[in-house]
This record gives sequence, C-alpha cells and structure tokens, in this order.
Amino acid sequence: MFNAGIEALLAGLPEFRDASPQAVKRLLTSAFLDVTGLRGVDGSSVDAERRAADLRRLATGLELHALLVDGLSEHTFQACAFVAAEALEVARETAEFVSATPEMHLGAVPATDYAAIEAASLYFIAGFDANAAVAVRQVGRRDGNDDAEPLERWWAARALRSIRAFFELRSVPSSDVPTLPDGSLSARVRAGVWRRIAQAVDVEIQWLRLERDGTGNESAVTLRSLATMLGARQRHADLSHLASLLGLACDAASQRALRSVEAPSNDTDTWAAYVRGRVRDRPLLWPAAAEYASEALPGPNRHAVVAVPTGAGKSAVAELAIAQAAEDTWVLYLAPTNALVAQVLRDLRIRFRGNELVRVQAFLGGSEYTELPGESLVDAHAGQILVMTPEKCSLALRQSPDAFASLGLAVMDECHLLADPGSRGVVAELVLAEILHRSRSVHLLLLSALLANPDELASWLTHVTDTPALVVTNPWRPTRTVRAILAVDPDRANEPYRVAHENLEAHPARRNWGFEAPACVLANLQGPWLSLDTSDYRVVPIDLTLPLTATRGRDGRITPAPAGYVNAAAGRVTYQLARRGERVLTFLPANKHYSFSVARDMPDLITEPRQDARLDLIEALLDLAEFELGVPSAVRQLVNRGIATHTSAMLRDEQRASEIAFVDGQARAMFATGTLAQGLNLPATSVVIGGTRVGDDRNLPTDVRDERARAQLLNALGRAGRAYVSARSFGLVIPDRWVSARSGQSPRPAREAAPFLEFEDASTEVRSHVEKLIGGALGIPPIEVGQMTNEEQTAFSLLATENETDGQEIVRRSFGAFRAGLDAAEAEQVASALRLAGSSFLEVAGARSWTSRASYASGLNLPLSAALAEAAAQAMPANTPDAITDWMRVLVRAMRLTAPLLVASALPDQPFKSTPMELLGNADGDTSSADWNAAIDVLEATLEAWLSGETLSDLTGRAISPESPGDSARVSGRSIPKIIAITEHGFGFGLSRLAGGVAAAVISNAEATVDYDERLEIDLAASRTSLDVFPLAVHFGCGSLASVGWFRWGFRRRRIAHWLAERLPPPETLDVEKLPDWIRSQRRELLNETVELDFDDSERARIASLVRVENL
Amino acid sequence: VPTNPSPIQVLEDALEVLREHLHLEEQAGPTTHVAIRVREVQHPDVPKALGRYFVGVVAGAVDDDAQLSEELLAATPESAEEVRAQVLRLVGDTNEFEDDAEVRFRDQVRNPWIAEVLAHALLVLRRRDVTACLRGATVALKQPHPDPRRQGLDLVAIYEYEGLPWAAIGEAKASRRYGSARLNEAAAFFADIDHGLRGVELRGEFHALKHVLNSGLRASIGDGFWRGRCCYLPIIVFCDAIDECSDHTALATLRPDVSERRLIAVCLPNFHVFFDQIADEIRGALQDLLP
Repeated sequence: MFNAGIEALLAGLPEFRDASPQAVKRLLTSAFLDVTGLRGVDGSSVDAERRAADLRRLATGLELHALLVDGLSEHTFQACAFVAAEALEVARETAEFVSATPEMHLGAVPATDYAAIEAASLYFIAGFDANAAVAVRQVGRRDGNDDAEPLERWWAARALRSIRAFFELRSVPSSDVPTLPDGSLSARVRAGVWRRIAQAVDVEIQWLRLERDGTGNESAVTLRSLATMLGARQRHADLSHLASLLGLACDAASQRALRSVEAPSNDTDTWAAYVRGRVRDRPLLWPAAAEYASEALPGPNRHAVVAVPTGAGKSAVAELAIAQAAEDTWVLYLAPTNALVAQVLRDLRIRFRGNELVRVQAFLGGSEYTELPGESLVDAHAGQILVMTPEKCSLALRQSPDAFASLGLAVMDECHLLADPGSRGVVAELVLAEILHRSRSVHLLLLSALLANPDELASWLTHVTDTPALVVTNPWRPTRTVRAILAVDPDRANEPYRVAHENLEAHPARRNWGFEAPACVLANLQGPWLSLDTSDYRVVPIDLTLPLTATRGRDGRITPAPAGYVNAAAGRVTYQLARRGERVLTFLPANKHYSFSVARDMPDLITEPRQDARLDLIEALLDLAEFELGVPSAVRQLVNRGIATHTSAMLRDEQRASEIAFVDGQARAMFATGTLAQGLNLPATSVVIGGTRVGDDRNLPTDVRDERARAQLLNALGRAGRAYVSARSFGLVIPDRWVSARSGQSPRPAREAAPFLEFEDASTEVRSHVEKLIGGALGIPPIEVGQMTNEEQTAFSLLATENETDGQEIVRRSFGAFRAGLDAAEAEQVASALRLAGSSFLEVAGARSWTSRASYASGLNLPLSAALAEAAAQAMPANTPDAITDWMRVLVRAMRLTAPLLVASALPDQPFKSTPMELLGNADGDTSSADWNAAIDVLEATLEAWLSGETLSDLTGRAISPESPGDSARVSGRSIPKIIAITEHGFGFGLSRLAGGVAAAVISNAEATVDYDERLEIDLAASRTSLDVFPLAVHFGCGSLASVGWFRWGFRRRRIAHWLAERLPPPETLDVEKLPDWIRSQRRELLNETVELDFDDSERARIASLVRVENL
Repeated sequence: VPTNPSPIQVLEDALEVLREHLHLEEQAGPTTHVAIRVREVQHPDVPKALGRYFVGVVAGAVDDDAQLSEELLAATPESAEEVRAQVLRLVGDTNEFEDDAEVRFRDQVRNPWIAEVLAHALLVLRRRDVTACLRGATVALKQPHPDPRRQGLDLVAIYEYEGLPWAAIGEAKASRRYGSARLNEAAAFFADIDHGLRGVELRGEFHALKHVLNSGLRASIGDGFWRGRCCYLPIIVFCDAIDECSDHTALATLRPDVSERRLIAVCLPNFHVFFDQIADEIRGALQDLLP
C-alpha cells in the first residue's frame, strides 16, 4: 500500500519494539484489507478487531511520542504524526465495519469526532492535508452529548463546524449566537475554550484564503497558549490536547501557504489575481509545489524537472510557474495528446477565469501543415498561455519561429514522451531543442510521473543554457494503494473442480465443463511486490467465484484450463466493488472492445438516475454524439445503468459524457482501455486491471513493447486514489492465467503472473532518439537519407531548416547532442552532414531543390515529400483547383501514384486493418496493383463522404461494408468502432499529414525561384485559401471553408460545423482573415440564443445541447 | 482562593491523616491478579479526612476554573458558592434517600464519587510512601473531574518503575451488595482500554500530564504505551465480601502482566453508614472551610 514516499517518511519512526516500518505497514495494510469492498467470507471479525486494537494503541503511542518528547527531529515528528493519523483512521473504519460500539463523549463532543480531529491534525502536521479533509468529513454531524450543558454544547458544535471547515480549507459561514443559559462555572469555562478554538481556526483559514492580513502564526500562538493555560492547571485535558494539536496543524498550514510564495518583482496583478482565486479552493502547497516555489520562484528563475508520482500535484507546480511567468511573457504548455490538451485548456481556463490579463488558448489538431489564419503564433504576447501537442508546436516553430523569441516559460507535461519510439519522441526532443534556440530567456518546466533520469535532463538544460535547473523528485503522494492479485482459493475450489472433473469424465463427448472456483485476494502488505517473504502477504477469501473450465487435453487428461476467465472475473469484481460503494475504474488493456462487452454483460449498478449528477449535460453530450454517429450511442444505455466506458472506439463527446457520469457518481464503475491511464484525471477508490496483456503495436521491438505494457499497467494502478475522497485505495490485478493463493504459500507464482507489480512505478529512462542520427552524421561513410530509420527521417526533416545556423543551433541544444558530448564545432559538422545528405538525396532522386523546404514545412520525411511532390505534379488537373474537394482529388490521385511503402510510412496501420483500405497502412507492392488501386478507390469514396458531412454510420457503408451501414454496437467486429478509428486516426493523424505534404509542395513550388515545376502551377489568388485550409479540412472532416471555420472557431464537432455552415454561412464577401471573428461572434449569439433563425424543433434541441455543453 | 486554608493546604492536611491510617496489604493467593486489601479505612479519623480531602479536590478544580474564567472570559466567579454548589451536586444535602431517584443518586453518583476520591488519595499517598498500590512511585496524577455528567476516566497516573514511566489506570466502583458485578464491569472497562477504545481520553490525559513530567520520562511514555507498560487498578468498595484473593477470569485475559493487574479491595461492613458519615463530613467541611 505504501510507495517510496511513505517508505522514506516511515524511516523516521522511533524505535518501538515490534513497530518497525515494515511491521507498521503490514498492520495498516492488513487492517485496511479487513474493510475493503472485497472483504473476507469467513465471517470472523476477531482478527480485524485485534488489528484495530493494535492500531489504536500504536496511534496512542506514536501521538504521545510526537507530543511529549522534546527535541524530536522534524522527520520523526512527521513520521509519528502520519502513522498515528493513518492508524486512527483505519481503526475507525474497522470499528464502523465490524462492531457497533456505543458512542462515547468527551464533554459535549462524540469521541469519534474528537478522534477524527486528532487524525486530521496529525495528517496536517505530516503534510497530508487532503487526507485530513477526508478524516473530518463527518465531524459535527454526529449526535452531541445530551448530558452536556447547553452552553458548552452550542459552542462545541460551533467549534466543530469551524474545525471541519478549516481542514476542508474553506471558510465557515458566520452564525448568530443564540441566547444560551448561563451554565455552571465549568461549562462556562469550557464554552469559552471552544469559542477561542473556533475563533483561532477561523482566523487561520481566513488568513490562508487571503480574507485577513497578518503574519500567519496568530492562530498557532493562540492555540498553543490556550493549551498551556489549561495544561498548566491540569484542567480540561481534552480541550488542552485538542488546542495543542490544532495549534500544530495551524503551524503546518501557515508554513505551506500559497499566499506566502514570493511574488514576481513586477507583479501587474496576474500573479496576485491567480493567488486570490486559487486560495479559495487550494490555499496550501503540496511538497513538490512547495519545493518548486522555494527554489525556482519568483520567476521562474531556472529550469526545473519535476518527476513526482501521479497525484502528487504536478499540475499545481505548472500553475505556479505559469502564473508568475505570464506576468511579462507568453507561456507554452505542451501536452502529449489532444485529449490532454483539451483537459489542460479547461483546467487553466478555470484557474485563470476572470483574470483579464491572462488568455488561455489551445491549438488543437495534428501536425498537418496549414496556413489557416489563426493557426499561427505570430501575435503571441505576454499573458497568453498556449496549449498544444509537441507536433502542433513543431509546426508552429516551422511557421512562426520568431514568435518564440519572447517565450518565457515552456511546460512539457508527461515529458517521458521524449522516450517514445517512432516520431513522437523525436519531435518532442527537437521541439524542446528548438525552443531553447529560439528563446534565450525561456525556462523549461518538464513534468512527469514516469521519469527515471530527471537529473540527466536537468544537467542537459543547465549545460545548453548556462541556467541552473532544479530537480524535484519528492516521492510524496497523498494516497495509498494496496496492490493485490485476484486468485483462486484452492481449498474452496477443490470441490467444484472435482464435480466438473467427474462430469467431464461422465460425458466423453464434451471437451470442457465449466465450474465456479471460489476466489481470494492475495495482497502485498508493503507496497511493490519486492519481497517473497510470506509475512509480507495476506490472503483474504472473498465472496466471489471465478468462471473456470475443466478441459480435456488431447491425451485425454482433464485439467483446469489456465485462462479464459479474465473478462467475466473483471465484470464480477467490478460489480461487487461498485455495489459496496467503491468508485471503480476497471482497465481491460488487451482490447478496446472488451470494455463495451464486459459493461454490457454486467448487471445494472443503478436503477434510478443520480439526482445530483449533471444528467442534462450528459444527455446533451450524447445527443451531439448521436448527431455525428447517425445512430443511437451505445454509451447512453450504459450510463443509464450506472456504467461508464472510456475507449478509443468512442467519440470525444461520448468520452466526456462517460467522464462526467463517473466523476458525478452517476456511473459507479468505468471500463477503460489503457489510453485513460495516460494522464486524464479520473481517480477512483478502486482500480481493477483485467488481464495483463496489453494490446499494442506489434511492430515494436519486444523490449519496447514490454516496457510500454509495464508502464501502462503501472499507470493504470496509479489511477487508484482520490485524495479528497479516500486516502486509501485498492488495486486488484486479474492475471491472464489464473493463479491460486493460500496463506503461508510462496507468492512467487502470483508475482510471475503480474511481474509489473514488482516495480514502484513505471519510470523509464529517457534516451535521445536524435543521438543516433548525430552519430551517423559524424561517422564515415557519410549518412544517407535512404538508409535512415523512420525516427531519423523525422529528425532529419525537422533539422532541414532553411537557415543553416538554425539547424546547427538546434542540434547543439538537443538532448542527443548533450548525451553525445557534442561541442559547437561538431554541431556544425552534424548540420553540414545533414544538409549534404539532403542535397545528395535530392540529386539522386531527381527531386526539386525546394523539396527540402516542403519536407520541413510539412514534417514529412524527405523521400515521401519528394515522391508526393512528383505525384502531385502528375495529378494536378488542367484547371487550378480552387475548392477543398478539388484538392482532395489531387491528394487521392497523388497517393495512387506514390509508392505504397512510402504512403504507408505516413499512415498508421491499425485504423485501416481488416477494412478494404488495409493496404494503405501496410503495403509494399507497386502502384499498379489492383489491390492498391481498389484500396485507393474506397479511400476516395470514404474521404469524400467524410468531407461532405455524412454521418459516421453512413460512412461505414462506404469504408467497410457497403451492404450494412453501421449499427450502434461497439463490440469487436462492428463497424462504428472501426470508422471512428479510421476517421480519428487514419484521417486525422495520417491522411491530413499527406494532405499537408501536397499543400507544402504546391506552395513551396509557387514560392520557388529555382527549380520551378510548371506542372504544379496554380493561380494563387484563386487557390491559396482552399490549399491553406485543405490539410485541416481532411483532419476535421469539413469540405468547405465555412465548415472548417465553424469547426475551428465555432464548435469542434464535424457535423455541427457542416450544419451551421449551411444554416449560418459566412457572407460571400467576407475576407478570410475576418472569418474567425465573424464565426466567433455568431457562436456567441448562438450560445446566448439571440440568433433569430427559423430552426425546427430538432435544430433547437441541438442548439440547446450545444449551449449546455459549451457552458460546461 | 475559594477555601480557607487554601485547597492545597486542605488536601495536605487530609493526606497526612489518611497516610497514618490507610494501609494497603498485598494478599496471597490469586494467579489472575495481585490482591490488595485496604486496612483501617473505618478508623474514626478517616471520614473527616476524606471529607476534607473531597472538598479540597473540588475546591482546587473550581479554583482553576475561576482563574481560567478570568483569563478567558474576563469574569470572576463567586468561587466559594461554586464549590458549595458543586459539592452538593455530588453528595447531596442530606443522607435521606427515599424514592428510587434518590437511591439511584446515592448509588450512582455520591458513593462512586467518594470511592473515586478515596482511590485518588491512595495514588497520591503512593507518591509519598511505598505502598502496595503500585510497584513504583506515582509521579503524575490526573485530577478527578468534579462533574457527575461527564463521562471519562476516573484515575490516570504515571508512576516510575525501574527508571521507566508506567501508566496506571484506575476504575473505582462502590457497591454494597454487588461487588463482584462491579469488578466485572471494571474488568470490561479495562478490556476496552486493551482494545484501544479509550484511546481518545488517554491521549488527552497523558498529554496534559506532560506539564508535570520530566523530559526523561516523557520520552518513554509513547513507547511504553505501545509495549503495554501499564497497570490496571480496579478499586472496589463493597460490603458483602468479594473474594479478592480468588482468581477472577475477567481479569485473567487483560493485557498487562499479572503484577500490573492490581485489585484494591475496600471492604466496609457498615457500608452505608461509612458513606453517610463521609457525606456528612463533606458537608461539614463546607461549613468549616468556606467563607
């Protein structure tokens, strides 16, 4: 249950006999298992009660040690506080679960409330304020002591409200004091103490939230003196104790206050406004943010590499940096996927809402070349925060390099992306190198939970910029996760297996006979499954059976089949956990279709919609999704049953509906593929991993595949834990091949079934993908373009800058050059070698000299750019194309004429697999083959329908199976998932790049002064706009400038854009430069419902859905 | 100061008398606990001393509260009246108990309070002399809380044995006829302590004692608590004999070693007479000591 952060903390524990850190962890985890949603079936609570008693005594021992011993180190103090708090909380949960002890009172207050405040204070002292908020959730809501005098009772209740608010970091609403009877002297004194406690914690939270000035230590001083005043007289020990603990908590809070972070020297209110807004919900800094603020602010004044666990507050670090940097520069935020870009955009907009000096914008889309107005960064200015993927940024760097000169801060989220094989890692690496080249004053902030070599990255940044780089690697995390494996309970499974065995023997014609094997959970009591010591594991029998099969082998022997149970088991476990109140995230990483099939087969989790969920928003999103699909959304039915799904076989609106349903509790369980593990913020109290096989790119080398699988599974496990909901969570792995577990038995076989459990996290060492290219460029014989790998081709094309010095400087600043120990002269040598290789290639290939520029602009590799340019020249019609659909035909014709192998190098193979277009992503034949041309024919029909705004259901009829347009099902073999993959990935991130290649070739030729190709001649005045828009049009599925405009600046939904382009077309005379503003103003009017159009009912409903969704 | 002489002096004077007459003798026999009989409790000087001790304890608490009232509320209470009211809430103004409520008051408020104060005095005396009460000298002792409506621990002390601090937790019971039942109740209370169910109160009480403990002893309290360095003191005041020298299974299962399960038996053949006598002395002390 405990990660390296807790391990480090527990090293500070005092030497109590039988309370070593290992023993403490065993005790805490084992007690947590007593109350988890998959609890034991033996019915005995004796052991649970014994463990709870041990925990309470441990809590008392450690708390007293912390409070009574003079001169304790901060480390020991915090370790005692943390374990005492954790022990109190786990013991409380056990008590609620196993026994109904009558409530005791201390004075007017229930003892349970008192213990909860103790736990919360101790968590605060140890730096776990989110856990404190969970601990006090019920404080003040239990019955008070009727025997206490009314005067004391009222003030105690008032103080409890204040204390709960303090730990929940919110202000307590003021309340009038009623007329109260006078009471005895003792009651008057106690009421007075309660009042003073309430005032002190009110003052502290007001100070933290900037609602009051002061030094921040007033409350701690008040509470300490109160504790001493009472303690010195040996009176009201309970209140003295409470005041003492709360004083320490106030001290801890003041030390971590956001408001205490030093402001930038030239604060024009950007920072102050941010702090004013942020302290309202998060007035405290978590450790990573505190360290960053202390070392890198004001400024930021240095680079930083922040490698801390999931959920440890990386986003808060980024916020601090952004809020200070945006004061006088613009900020770039790089996130690896468009989904994350959208999430970051939402989060930052909320964070800076109302701050007129800050503008947060996203540049969504892929890396396709485009010159569409509004897609470039030429006007980036101070206070602007631009969020985009590295690919999009790479394009921006190629188009508007000068805009980066004024960049002050570049944040790269999930920076382990640098290690990604294929083009993604290369692009990310060179984007950073180029940013460092373009802006001499930029500070980089690299964030990751999965980075094994942050020091090396920091050294790189220091080396190439002569600016210090901070490394933050604090392993602190606010939640704990038990790592467990679902196993067969051999003792209880023996009998059902024997029956199945006998049945199979009695039915010689049958090969298989199913049986239900009772299950158990094998949990590690420490953290990662490092040890094989049986005392570090516990087997918990559970109320669940696994559907196994007795099978007859070819030799006639009957044995239990080793696999084939995972999905059913995952469904059952998920159901059981969800029914018992857990928020369950179940990953089914082997196949994206499993999420839907397992969800479909699971019993309903709710019978009525949850009233406090945003049901209208969920409905609106699904209405919009159905408009795109043309058939009912399969997600709707699941959400109505309390189940969410999250896979790539869903539209973005469906994913959002699922996310909201899960966050709001309308869905108690979510089934997801591994993609969800990559950064989306949907934490759960339980995570189930159904199967350890990860569906992945089989073209990758085995070691890379294994590493990615391990990373994905550990990432999935990392989603467990909701800091403000549950401090402890449960991560359960269902191995592909079942294992059995028995107390005292070696855990080795189970560990071998899920070896990733052995690892603390999925940290990977980031290596440079450019390094090899550099080595090749410096080597003998000279590097050749034709011999380069795909990664090298990508790097090569991005380094082929027009300005020779730029290429050299980018190389010199790359991580690869740092690792290779390159000096400036060698960097120049590399740049020269690359230029030479490019020239040689063009000469040999007979390509035009401007091809390098087209390759650089489009991001396509040089051989493909050259081939595509030549094919486009052949494909150009006699009349200059002036519509997007004309360019589409040029593209398709060019592709038909381009070597399939080269085309495939730019297209992903998975989306087209098992469709008539399969060869597009995976062909090495020649252009004359009938199969190739047939695939292109289907592509042309599908692309045309895509651009004309047909529903996805209709598109399936063109792309997959003309006889049967898509139905709503999302399970394996159905066409809707396939068409989503084709359009989202095949078109969005593949074909659009080829479209960019054609556009870049035509424009490069038009601007060329030498090597002009007349076959590519166009009437720029007539064609330029459609050509500029064309790659985006392919990406978005919008076949006209109006629909592209509505998509880009109106609503990012394809068929909505088509519909609005038809119903609200831009004026024909409108200059394209003015299109963004025109659409934005129409959008505002639509959302304000002030557009007066003759909409029918369905159109009005559609507008209402848009209004609801866009106001999210 | 609500009394004349001061509450401390009242307590000191009373303790000198009790020191002379209360004798604790360890009894042979039981294997489940250490049996201790309090001798000479019915000596004629004891009721008066206990009565004054009782008033001293209440006056001390009121005195502290009065000072707190001044500091916290800027209000100076009429302390002597507070003491009088408080004492009478605990012992009543008469020894006539006719209806059920009055009898219940006698058996559930007055007598247990007197028993608790007696037990408190025994623990204070252990600080001055070696007695069978504890294996080491009392170094810190919680004040009784003179409020019959408040739940809480009767007796909490720290004593020093072989250089280490030990916790002493006492539960005083008084019953003329049902001494055994009260002993079982006390054992159940100690079982709750074993299960950590009174941890909230214990942490508060031990935290408060830090003001009177030296740092050396404070350093080992937490560890001691975890290891079970703790003594349980059931103190039973009864009339009909409970055999403190026989084994008691309810005590046998408690966590501390046998040597730290110390049953203190106070046998009073004239049970009610004794308590009435003390109550009279308490009321008399109010006359003598309060202005």
